[in-house]
Amino acid sequence: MTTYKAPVKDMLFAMRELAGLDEIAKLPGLEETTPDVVQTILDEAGRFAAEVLAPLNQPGDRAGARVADGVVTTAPGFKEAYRQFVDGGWPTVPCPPQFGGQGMPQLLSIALQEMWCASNMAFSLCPMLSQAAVEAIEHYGTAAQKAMFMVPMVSGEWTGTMNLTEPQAGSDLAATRARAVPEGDHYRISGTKIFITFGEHDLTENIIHLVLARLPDAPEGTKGISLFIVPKFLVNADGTIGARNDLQCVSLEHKLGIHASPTAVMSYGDKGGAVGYLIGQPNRGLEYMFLMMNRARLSVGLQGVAVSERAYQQALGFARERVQGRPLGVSNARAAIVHHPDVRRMLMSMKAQTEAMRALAYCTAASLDKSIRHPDSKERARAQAYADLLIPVVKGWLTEQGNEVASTGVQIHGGMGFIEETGAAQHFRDMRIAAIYEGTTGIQAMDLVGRKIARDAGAAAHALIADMRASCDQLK
Amino acid sequence: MCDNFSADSRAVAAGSVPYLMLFGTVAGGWQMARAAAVAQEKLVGANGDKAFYETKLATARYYADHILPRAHAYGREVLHGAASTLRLDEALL
Repeated sequence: MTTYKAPVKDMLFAMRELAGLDEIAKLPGLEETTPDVVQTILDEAGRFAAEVLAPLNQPGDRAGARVADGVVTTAPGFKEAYRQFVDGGWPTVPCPPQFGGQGMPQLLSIALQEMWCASNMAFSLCPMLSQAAVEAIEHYGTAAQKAMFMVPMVSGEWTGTMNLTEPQAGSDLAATRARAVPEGDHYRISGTKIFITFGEHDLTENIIHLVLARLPDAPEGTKGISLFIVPKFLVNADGTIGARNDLQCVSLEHKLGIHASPTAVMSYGDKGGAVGYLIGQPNRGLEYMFLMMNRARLSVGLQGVAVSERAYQQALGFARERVQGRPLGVSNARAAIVHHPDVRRMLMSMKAQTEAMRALAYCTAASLDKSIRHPDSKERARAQAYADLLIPVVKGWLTEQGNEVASTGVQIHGGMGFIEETGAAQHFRDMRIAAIYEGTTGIQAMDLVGRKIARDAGAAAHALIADMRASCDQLK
Repeated sequence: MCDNFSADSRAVAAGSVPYLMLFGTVAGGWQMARAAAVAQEKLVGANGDKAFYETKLATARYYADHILPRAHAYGREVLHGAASTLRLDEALL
């Protein structure tokens, strides 16, 4: 079994010295984010990740999630771990206080997400997607929708999912076919959705699906897609669980990695249409989804940091234990491979890339905090432009680097790295999806050069380059 | 690139991933340089955390020597790589 130790000191360094935690803690509403509070939360989270989540990573990979007759059973231990995760209040950390959240900054949330993902990437996907669903309802839901769904979703009693992809509509969501027909105060949803992470599971009593679908009179293409809340179980007016909705998990995918994360094929409306509630305005679903996607893409980019850190810790541990050969120019005694120059090169490369990635991801999270909370509207706009520019870079570059680092981790293990037993291969397999989902590297690159650079004639990019120059001047 | 975006959009698209990698590599280097500057400053008043800050300096140095040089290669790909990416007829791939 492979262990994980949260690199709290490195995380705090990136948060305080590079991402400006002290400045973030002065923003309105974040005054409780004192250095002591941050240190305590990171230490507690690190313990939870190491003691509860990390030991389930390899067994979860082996057992995977199973489906029979539409009922999904998660890997052994996941249900209990999720219960502890909710009891510990971890899902509430970044959520708004009026719905039971702790209202902590994105910068702290991102450090916790790194720990969940590094200790158990498959597990971490469930709270990550729930968080995105919470944000969508918080921003665009009606008061009644918030009253019905927010509190149990913020606490983690219920989880949330994002249903975008269909067999013919992958990166090209314009091809979305799922339908929504109005019926009184709700809609009837029908269609097939694929690649739905934690679309069905046994961790909670209800699952709240956010589903993209077309209204009968919707225009063709991306401007005719609306967003709906479709709960697995309908919710009664008093908040209790009601009738089962017309949706089911048809099957689970067999994947290269993240085996313990159930990737569901979902079928809506086999018996006449699942009850769904429109979020926001008709035909603006994709626009809402894109606003949510900024956070989701930052979180996926962060997976590059997390898996790299885990792979590094594992490779370093192995390199210190594995005795092979006599290191050149040191002694004639057989020694651990950590003493071989090329193994040093690989370890340093993993370490340096991980730290650079972490710094960039944390700085981007900090600018999201500023874009939401800074009292000066010009500063908010500046921070938003900075985050918008960096998010495709964080998503694309970090996940590509993560693949490289996880591969280097396998290499350091030599032949043992190719054997599943060591665990190095799992990091390599798990990491591979991150450069694909939430928009492939190619999609990120087009977002960067088109929407983020060409559209404002390079203004945001020039501002960033000016910041880089200022840092260089300071170094001289 | 801004000038070319509408004039030669296929060339820009062909070089977009190398451009993203260039951007990331340099932005990562920027952060490592900032980390090194902080570490250097803290080392002056070294208070028991000497090893931690020396590690930060060494790691930043490694990044500068080994990872950052990739920026030159990405830059050449961005500026000169599009034509050969698109040169072959699809049938000849």
